[in-house]
Amino acid sequence: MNFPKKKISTIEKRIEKFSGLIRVTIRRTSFRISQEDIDDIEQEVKLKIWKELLKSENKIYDLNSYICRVAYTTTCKIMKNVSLQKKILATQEEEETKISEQKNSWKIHTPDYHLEKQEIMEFIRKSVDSLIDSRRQAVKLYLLGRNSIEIAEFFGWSEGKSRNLLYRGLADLKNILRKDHEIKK
Amino acid sequence: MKLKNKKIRTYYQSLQSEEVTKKTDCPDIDILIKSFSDELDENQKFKIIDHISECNSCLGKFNLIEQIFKDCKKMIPGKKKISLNENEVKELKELSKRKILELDEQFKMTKNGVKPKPRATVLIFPKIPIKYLSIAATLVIITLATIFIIRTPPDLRKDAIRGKQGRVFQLIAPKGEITEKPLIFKWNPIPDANEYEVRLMNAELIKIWISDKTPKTYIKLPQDLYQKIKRDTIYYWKVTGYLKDGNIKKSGLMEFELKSN
Repeated sequence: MNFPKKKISTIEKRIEKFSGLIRVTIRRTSFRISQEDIDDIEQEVKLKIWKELLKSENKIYDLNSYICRVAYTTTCKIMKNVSLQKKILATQEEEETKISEQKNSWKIHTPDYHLEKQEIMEFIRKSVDSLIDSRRQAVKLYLLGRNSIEIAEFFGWSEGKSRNLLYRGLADLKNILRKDHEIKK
Repeated sequence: MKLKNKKIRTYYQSLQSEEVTKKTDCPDIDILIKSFSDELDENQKFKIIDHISECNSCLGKFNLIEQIFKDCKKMIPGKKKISLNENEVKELKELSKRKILELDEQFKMTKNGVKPKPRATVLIFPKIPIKYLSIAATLVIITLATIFIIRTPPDLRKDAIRGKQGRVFQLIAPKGEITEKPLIFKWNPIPDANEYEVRLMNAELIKIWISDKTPKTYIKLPQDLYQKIKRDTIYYWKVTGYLKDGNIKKSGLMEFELKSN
């Protein structure tokens, strides 16, 4: 049986589309990376994916998830190597910039402002940490910008479980924050 | 008080983005990569989330890996399974060989300075006339300037008073530049306060001393600590008042500097 032309073009198109997406992702998350480096990474991602496909076993039961898995591990490996070589991810430079931004912020705002902020952050952290384990994790991921579907996907929970834990956790957190507000009043 | 989930999240993120946090016990990047697969159990994932919520450096890596994971998932629209038999896999391998050769060729050409075919660029903005873009940019600048003016906090240091209830707490000394010894912290009493507590902090607002609770409105810095106070360095202090009904009231920060004689 010949490999249908349609399937070939689909795989090619998906890998092309994927390397384009990776390009956008790298540009969005690693601002300091040069255009040439992005070109190199994109080329390497494509090449490695094809090389991995060359190593594939005799039978593939789920082509889509197979390509997805190969693309994920390959891209992560490449990004890891690049980050080790060039320290793109969380470079010292980025941290220094953040520290200098913080110092500038100290010039703009009063020490009172910073102390209050520190105390609020510490209080929110303590309040979140006092939640029960699974609710705490759902709330933490929510506070870091994820929705209940993304939380469910990350932990391998059902959407219902994730939504339930998140809303119960947020209700607990709000109760703690409200109690503190009433005490301060 | 009505607390909205989104407001808590926005506030948390704005506070967190300004922090410079880096922990020492960071997980290996391989663990972060595995966290998006089934290779890690729930408890291991819990540990990762606990860590990244307090380590901005790892959070950045986690975000990038998550984005790569999402991009990979975009490759598989729909849940329809496509399986390949042995012959089809052979064909796929042939295709892979051709593609590898093609890409290697392209790579060599780039190295030799031959320009490859121009790639299709991803347009983030549709074609909008420059006139409208400049109007939009002006509006954004005006809005941001207004937000900045509204949000800039007043100088709370002036009388070292905090809280909405007016002048509840007034710190008297030390204040500004001082030269004398010993270092005695003085403040005005507040109604209904049983006891007071003094906190001394360095210029980075790191606590260096918390006094015992006292019913008096002054307290002397212990001698052994006084020796550690550096001259010509800024320090901050504040007082917490413990009220009879169990509530607390905090003063603002007062700045002082022990000048060399």
